[in-house]
Amino acid sequence: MKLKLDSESSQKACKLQKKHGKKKSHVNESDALLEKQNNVEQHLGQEAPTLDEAPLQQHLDSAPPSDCNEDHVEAGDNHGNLENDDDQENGSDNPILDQVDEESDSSEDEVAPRNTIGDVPLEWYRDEKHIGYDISGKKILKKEREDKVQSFLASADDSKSWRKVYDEYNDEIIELSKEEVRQLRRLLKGKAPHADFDPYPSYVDWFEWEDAKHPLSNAPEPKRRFIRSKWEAKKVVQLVRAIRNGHINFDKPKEEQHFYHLWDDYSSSTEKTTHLSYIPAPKPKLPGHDESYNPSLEYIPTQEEINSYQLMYEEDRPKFIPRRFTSMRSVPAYDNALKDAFERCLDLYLCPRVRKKRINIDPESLKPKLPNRKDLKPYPTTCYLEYRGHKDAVMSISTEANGQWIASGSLDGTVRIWEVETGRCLKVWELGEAVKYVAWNPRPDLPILAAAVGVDVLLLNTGLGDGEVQAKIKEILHVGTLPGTENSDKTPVATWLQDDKIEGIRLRHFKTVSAVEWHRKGDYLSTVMPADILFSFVLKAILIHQLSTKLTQKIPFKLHGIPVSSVFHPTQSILFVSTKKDVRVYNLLKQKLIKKLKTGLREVSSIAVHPAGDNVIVGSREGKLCWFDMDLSSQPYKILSCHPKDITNVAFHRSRPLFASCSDDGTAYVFHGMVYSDLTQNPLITPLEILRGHKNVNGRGVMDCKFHPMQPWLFTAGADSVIKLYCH
Amino acid sequence: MKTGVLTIIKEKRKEASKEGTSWVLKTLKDGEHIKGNPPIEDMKGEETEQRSHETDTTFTPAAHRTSDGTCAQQLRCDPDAKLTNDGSDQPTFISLNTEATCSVVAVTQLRRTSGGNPIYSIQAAMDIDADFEETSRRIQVRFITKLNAPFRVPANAIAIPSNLTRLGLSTVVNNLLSAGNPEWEEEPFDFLIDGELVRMSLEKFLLAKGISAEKTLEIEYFKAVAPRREEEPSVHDDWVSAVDGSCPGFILTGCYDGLGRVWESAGLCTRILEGHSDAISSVCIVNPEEATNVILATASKDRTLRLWKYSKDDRVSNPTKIRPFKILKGHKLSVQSVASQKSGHLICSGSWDYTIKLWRTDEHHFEGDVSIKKRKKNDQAEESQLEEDSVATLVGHSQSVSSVAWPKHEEIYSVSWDHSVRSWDVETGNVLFNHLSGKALNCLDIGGEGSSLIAAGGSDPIVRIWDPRKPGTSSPIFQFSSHTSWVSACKWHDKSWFHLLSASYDGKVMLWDLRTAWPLAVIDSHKEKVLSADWWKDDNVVSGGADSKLRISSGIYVS
Repeated sequence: MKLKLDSESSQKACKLQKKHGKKKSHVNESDALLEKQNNVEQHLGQEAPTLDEAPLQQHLDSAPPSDCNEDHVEAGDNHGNLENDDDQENGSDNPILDQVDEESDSSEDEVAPRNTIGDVPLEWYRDEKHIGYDISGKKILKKEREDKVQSFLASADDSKSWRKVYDEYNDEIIELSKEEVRQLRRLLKGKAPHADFDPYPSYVDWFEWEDAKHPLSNAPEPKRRFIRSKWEAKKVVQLVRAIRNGHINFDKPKEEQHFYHLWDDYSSSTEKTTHLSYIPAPKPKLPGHDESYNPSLEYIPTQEEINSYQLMYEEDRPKFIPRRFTSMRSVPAYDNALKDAFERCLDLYLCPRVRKKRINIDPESLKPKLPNRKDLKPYPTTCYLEYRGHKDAVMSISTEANGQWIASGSLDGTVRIWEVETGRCLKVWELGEAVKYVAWNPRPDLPILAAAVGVDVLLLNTGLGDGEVQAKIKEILHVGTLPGTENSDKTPVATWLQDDKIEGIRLRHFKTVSAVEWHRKGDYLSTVMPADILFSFVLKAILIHQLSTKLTQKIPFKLHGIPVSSVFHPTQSILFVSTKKDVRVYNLLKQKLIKKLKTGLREVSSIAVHPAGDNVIVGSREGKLCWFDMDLSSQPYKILSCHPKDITNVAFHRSRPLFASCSDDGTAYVFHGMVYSDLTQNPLITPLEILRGHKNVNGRGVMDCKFHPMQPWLFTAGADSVIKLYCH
Repeated sequence: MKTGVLTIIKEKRKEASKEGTSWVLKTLKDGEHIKGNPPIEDMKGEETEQRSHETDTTFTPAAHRTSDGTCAQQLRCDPDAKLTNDGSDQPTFISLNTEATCSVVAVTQLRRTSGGNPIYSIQAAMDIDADFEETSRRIQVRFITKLNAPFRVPANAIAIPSNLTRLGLSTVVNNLLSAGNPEWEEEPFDFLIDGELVRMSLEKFLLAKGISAEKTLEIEYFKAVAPRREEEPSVHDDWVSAVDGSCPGFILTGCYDGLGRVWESAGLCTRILEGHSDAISSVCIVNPEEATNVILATASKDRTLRLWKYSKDDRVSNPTKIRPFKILKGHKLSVQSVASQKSGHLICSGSWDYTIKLWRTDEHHFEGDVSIKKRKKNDQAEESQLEEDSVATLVGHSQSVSSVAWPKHEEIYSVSWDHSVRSWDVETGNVLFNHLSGKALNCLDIGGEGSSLIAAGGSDPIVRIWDPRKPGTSSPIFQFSSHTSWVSACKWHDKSWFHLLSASYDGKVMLWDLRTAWPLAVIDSHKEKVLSADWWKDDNVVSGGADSKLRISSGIYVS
C-alpha cells in the first residue's frame, strides 16, 4: 500500500497533483470516482479504496470537515492529530520524509503484491470466495466480513479507526501512518505530496549560449570550449608551486584599516617622529562654580581667609576670590582680563614644552639572575659565640692555621689568643701600645704571632705546640748580635731586637707599621708603613723581613702613592701592593711589575687575594668593593657598593667560595664568590647575608673580619671590643 | 561554660559565727594550680548563699541549690556524705558519691592548718554556669601508671573536661591521690597518650593525633622529669670543662686550671688530680663498676692524657692530691675527648690532630714501647710514672675530632668538626658508618633504644639524633632545637630509652624526652656557658660551665 513518494518522480507528482486538484470537490462522493482515478490509485495505493469505506468516510465527513473544503485546516480544525500533522509539515518535514522514503523503498523491494490478478476490476471476483491468486497460484480467500454494526462499534472504540483503510485488492485493513495521512491531505489540497517539492523552480536555461539570438555560425560549440586550456593548466601549476614554496601565504593577517583620530591632539601618541612634532599648549582651566556670579556660600571665603591670603606669597595667593552678586548685570568687569590674556599668550609663545618619554619596564627584570641563596649554603648566618675581654676596639684578628685558636689585637694595647670552640681567652700580652695588626704564621707547626704595635712589629711565641715545636720556635725567635753589626755600615731599614719580656723579637721600624702579612711558607713577612708620599718614594714604605736569617729588605719598586697594604700571592712569589688608588702586582723573583689594577676608587682600604691567586678583592673607604679578575683585565670585573660607610676589611675563605667585607657601618656582608677553573667562565658573585650585631662606637663599626680556615664561619672584630663568630 | 574546679572549703569563720563553720564555694579556673598560689575566683552568689548554712555540717544537695541550678544538680551527693567535725585532730573525709557517669570528680582534700582547724575542701570539676553550657566537652579517661602503690589512682574511668592541659591533668591526679592518702604531697606528673607526651590541651592533642574522644582514653602518668632541688654549687678555680657522673659514688670534673677533681657530693671535693700543664678538656671514669681501685682518665690541651688511680677504700675528708700513674703521649695537638671501653682495658681519645688514638689503661708495662720514669718529688717517696704511646691510631677525620664514645666493646663512635659522625671497628680500624651532618659537631653520645641511637650537637642550637640502624637515611630522626647557642654536651640517660639531656653555651641544660618536641625541663642555674653536663646516680644532673661551678640538680625521677 505504500505510497510512491520518491522525489525523483517529480513529474508524476505534478501530474498527480493536477489530477487530484480536479477531483478534490468530489472526493467524498463515492466509489464511482474511484475507477476513474486509475493512475492515482496506482500511485497512492490504497487511498482510493479507502474512501468508499464507511468508517473513514464517516470520519472524514464528520470529524475533519475541512477535508471537503479548500480552506480546511485553518478553519477550526479541532482534531489534534491533524493539526499536529500540519505543524510538522511546516516545521520539520525533511527527516520524516526521509524516513518515509526509506520505508517505501524498502517495502517495495521486499513485499511484492500478493494478489497477482493484475489490473482487473474487482467486480469480477465479487461473487467468488477468493479474491485472487498469490504468487504461487493459490487462491487468496476472502476474509470474513465483519458486520457493519460491529465494525462501527469497533471503530467507535478505536480512536485510530479513522486511519484504517480497507484494501479491497488484498482484502485487508491497513492503518495509515501519520505521514501518509499528511500526504493525502496535501493531495486533497492540491499540493504536491512532498513538502519540499518546489512547484515553481527558477528556470535554468541549459540551452542558452552567448549569441543564441544571432549566431554567426550555426556550428556547434567547438571542442576546445570543453577542454581545459593548457595556459590555464600552466597557471595553476605556477600557483601550486608558489603556494608550496610559500610565496603565496594565505594566513596573512588582515591589514587593519588605519584610521586616524581627526580631533586628537597627538600629545599622547607614542609614535616616533623624526621631525619636530607639534606639542599642543596646555589648556586653560575652565571656569568652575566659584567663578559663577552667584556661587553657593561655601565657595565664598570668610574674612579671616581673605586676611590670611594677604600673608601668603604672591604665587600661592588665589588669583580669584569668589564673590556673590545678585544678578549678572551687577558683575563688574574683570580687572585682570587683559593681564591674564597676556600671560596666556606668553605661556603659549614662550613656555618650552617637552615631550617626556616613558618606558615601562618591570623593575624585577632589571635585577640580575642570581642563584638562590639556599643553594649556596653553607655560609655564616648567625652569631652564636662572642669573645669578650678586650677593653677597647679590636683592630685586627687572625686565625690559626688549624682553626683552633684566634688572635686579636686591640687598641687597649693587648694581644689575646682565644679558644675558638669555647670563647676562652688563653693568653694575653700587655704591650702597652695600641695594636694595629695581628697575623698568625700560616704554618700550623710554627705558631708564631706577628703583631704591629706602633713602630714595632712583635713576633710572639704563642706557647702552643709540643716540646719540639717550642724548641724550634725558641731557636727561630732568637736574635744573634751578628745581623745588626753587618747592617751597621748602611742605615738599617729595620732593626731586629730580642725582647725578653715578651719572649720574642721586636722589629723596630722607622714609622708606624700599619699592616703585617706573612708569606705562605711562614718565613717571610711584609710590613707596610703608610707614611707620606715622599717617604714611599724612598722605597722604604714596604719592607720584607726574613725570619730565618733575620734580614730585612726593601722592595725594589717605585710606589706611586701611599701604600695601604701588601699581600703575598698564595702560590707564587708575587706581591700585591695596594696604594690608595691602585693595586700593583710585582713578581719578586724577576723583580718587575706584572700588572697594575686600576680601581677607580677614591681610597683603597684593604685587599684580599683569592686562594687560587687570580682574583683580588679590594675594599675602599667609600664603601665599594671591587672584584678584579686578573686574567680578564686591569679594570674591576664587578663593583659592589653595599656599605654606606668605609669598608674596613675584606677577606676570602681559604677553601670555600666565600668572601666577606666589613664596614664601619657595623655590618659585615658575606658573598658567594665562585671562581671556575674554566677560564672562559666569569666568576659568579652573589650577595648572601648581612651580618649585624656590632655596635658603633665612635663612628667605627666592624674593624676586621676573617674566615675560619676550615669551617664556613666568619669572625668579626668590632669597635665595641667584642669579637663575634658567625656560624652557618 | 566555664569548667572549673568547685572548691568548697569548710572553715571556721571567726568573724561570722563563733563555733559554726561556713561553706565557701569557690571556683578554680581550669589549669590553675590549687596548691601553689591559687587564683581563686569567687562566685559571689554562691558564696553568700552558702554562708547562710553556717552551722550545717551536712553537705546535701538542698544546701547547695543556689541561684545556679546546674551546680547543685551536678554535685549529687550521698545523703550520708557528712562532714564530721568532731573537733578531734583526726582528719575525717567527706565521702562524696559521684554519679555513675562520673560527671563530677569530687575529691576531698584535707589540709591541716597550724591552728588545728581542719580545712576541708571539696574540689569538683563540674559545670558551674549553665549559660556557657558545653563549650568544652568531657572526655572519659582512665589514668594508669607503672608507678608503685602510693602513686596509683583508682582504675575506673572518670570524665574530665577536654580543655585540661598537663597541669590540669596533674592537678586531677594529685587530687585523686590525695583523696586516698591524707599525707599526700603534691607531685607534678607527666602524661602519656599513645606514646606521646601531652603538651597541649587534651582537646587539641586528640584532634592533632586523630584519637577518638568517644571511647575511654587511657592516660599513663608518671612523675614529671624535672629537677626538684638544686644543690649548692661546687666552686672550682676556673671553668669546668668536663664532668663525668657515670660512677654513682662520685663526680669527676675537669677544669681549665689543669686539675681534675673528684666530688663525693655537692661541695665535697675528696681528690684533686694534679699533673696536667694545661686545661683539661675531657674526663672519663674508666672502671665505674670496679670496687677497689678507681681508674680515671683525663684528656688535656697539653696534648697528653693521664690516667689516675686511687683506692675507694681510703676515705678522706680533705682533698688529697693524686699524681697520675700513667701519662699517655702521642697526640700532636690538644686532646679534645676521651672515652673508655666498658671493660676498662682501653680508652680512646680524639684530638685536634684529626686522629683517634687507643690507649691501654693497665699498669703492666711492655718492653719496647714503655719507658719508666722515676721522679723525685720533694724528697718524698719515689713515684713511678709510666709513659706510654698509643696502641692504635684511627685516621680518617679531616678535622678536629671533638668527641668520642665507646658504647660497645668493639665499636667507637666519633664526631668531628669536619661535620661527620663515624663509627669505627676497633679490631680492624675500618669506618663502619660515616655520616655527614652539615654542621661542625662538638658532642656525642650513644644510647636510647637498644643503646644505638646517636645523639650529637655542635655548632648550632640543635640536638640531632640519628638511628644508624636505618639504612640509607641521612636525616636525623629527632631534632631538638630549643637552645639558642651551640650545644656543648648531650647525654642519654642510662636507664631510659627516651630521656637525654643537652647543655648549651646559652647557659641552659635541657632535659628531653623523645616522645615530645618540647624540653621536659630547663635547668637555668648557670650564669655562663655550660661546657659539660652528665647524669649522675640516675636522678641527678651534674653540669659544669664557664661560671667555674659544678651544679647538681637532683630529684629527677626518670622511670
